Amino acid sequence: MNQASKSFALHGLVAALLVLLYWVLPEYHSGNLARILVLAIYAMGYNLLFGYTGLLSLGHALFFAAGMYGLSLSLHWLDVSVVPAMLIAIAASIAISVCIGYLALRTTGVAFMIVTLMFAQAGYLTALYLGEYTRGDEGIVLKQADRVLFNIDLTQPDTRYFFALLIFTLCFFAIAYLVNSGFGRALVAIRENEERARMLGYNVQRLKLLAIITSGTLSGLSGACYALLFGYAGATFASVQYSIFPLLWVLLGGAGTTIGPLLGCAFMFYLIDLSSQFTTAYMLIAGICLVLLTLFAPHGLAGVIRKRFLPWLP
Amino acid sequence: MLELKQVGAAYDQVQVLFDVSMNVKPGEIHCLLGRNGAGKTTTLKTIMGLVTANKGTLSFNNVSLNGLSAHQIPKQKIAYVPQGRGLFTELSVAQNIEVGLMVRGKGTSTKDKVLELFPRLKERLKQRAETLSGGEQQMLAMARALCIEPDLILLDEPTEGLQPSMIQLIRDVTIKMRDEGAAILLVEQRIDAVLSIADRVSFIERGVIAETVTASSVQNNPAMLTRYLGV
Repeated sequence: MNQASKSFALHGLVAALLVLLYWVLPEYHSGNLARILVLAIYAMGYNLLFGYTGLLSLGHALFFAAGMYGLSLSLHWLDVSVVPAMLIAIAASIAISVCIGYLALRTTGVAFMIVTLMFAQAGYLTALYLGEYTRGDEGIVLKQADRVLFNIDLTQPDTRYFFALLIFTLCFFAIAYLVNSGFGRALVAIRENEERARMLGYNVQRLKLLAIITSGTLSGLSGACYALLFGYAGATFASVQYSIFPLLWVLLGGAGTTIGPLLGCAFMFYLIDLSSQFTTAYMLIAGICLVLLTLFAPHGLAGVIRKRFLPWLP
Repeated sequence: MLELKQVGAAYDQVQVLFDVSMNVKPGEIHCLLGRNGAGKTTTLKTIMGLVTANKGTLSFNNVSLNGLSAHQIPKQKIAYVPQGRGLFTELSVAQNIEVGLMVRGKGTSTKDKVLELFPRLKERLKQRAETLSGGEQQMLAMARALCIEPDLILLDEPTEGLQPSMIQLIRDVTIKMRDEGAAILLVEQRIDAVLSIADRVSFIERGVIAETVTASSVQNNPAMLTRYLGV
């Protein structure tokens, strides 16, 4: 069995396991898992840029919010159905990714981080400023009637879970394919040695821009799915906190691995969920766990699995 | 043929190259010698577009290289093996070679041809580049550069820090590439190793090409080495 077959089998196994989990887990946890799956798409998008291309963005909440507001505002104000609203959301994510990518790529390193952060903050403030339409911090609550796709009510726990799983699985396989394609290899080459990649003849700027657009689109798709499945879009999702989250998920799960974002997202979600049951200072416990994990598993959970058990892990 | 005429280049405000004029013909190993800081590596980087020439002209096969972006230079079939190898250390040997092949859309036959030159790499295709020995890393750096089937190869101290058997192998491959018609511009510190394979030698002093002579004339005139290199 070659590496590609093993990788395909692993991704299939993960998808099958997630199907099975719906019937195994209590409703509370399957509800959580639906949320984790949607956020994992966001983390996968972030991972493409950070883990594979080596670009550290602190402004991804802007892309997430672009998708979220693209869908919510369309459903709420334009009174369109889910499919066109989803298309508007994706178009908004692509458009913003192109603009931000084009401008932010004029900088590198720390400046890139700061510029992306500033754009995201501008987006956050814009969402607050346009409160008449976005309802600011209060947010938009989507009506149940608006969250129906081809007569399937996405507000029900089972349809919500399987819709989240479907989108996640598609993105999961797409990312696995992408990172093993020529494009993915070129991104890794840029991460490893940008100057060398340029010397080999790669148009590094163009590839980086494509990485930002792909990453931003995935993040926007995640934001749109989140609003659609959980019925809410608020300015909080455009805040800096939501730019930091995917970074933490990817670092914990394993940057530059396809399965790492899901692991990191699930780990952090339950770390906060469980620790908050014991103490109000749950962020302290979460923080200590994160520090320990970073110290003893600097390549993240999937990094440890790759190093110790599965060296072929994509 | 690579042709440099009165080329100058600077790092920010610091002018490093003042007047570099030389040419490298097909089927020739042309060696660039000079003291540390004379501008050897900068000359190679200027040819590759990594440092912008602020005066003079550069052309290869009658195509001007002035104004081309760094990523456009390899499309002229110019390959560069930098000092320090510049490998993609997280990638395997096979993936490093694939990255070299992909950019010019080269396929399996080119890969086989390249691996024929370095049979040792064939045995280590799945190994990560960072786990290779220094000599193997150098082989991989050269193999990857050859993936674009270059007409001009720029080699920056390819034998630096290698054991004698590896040096011999690198020399043999360099000669083979020359015999197949490639033009080779070689920067090397090991003068003995250079003179035995070079056809012509250019001496660079403080960013200026001081003299270009045949390798045999240098061998017959050790005073030249003392004058330009202090050896």
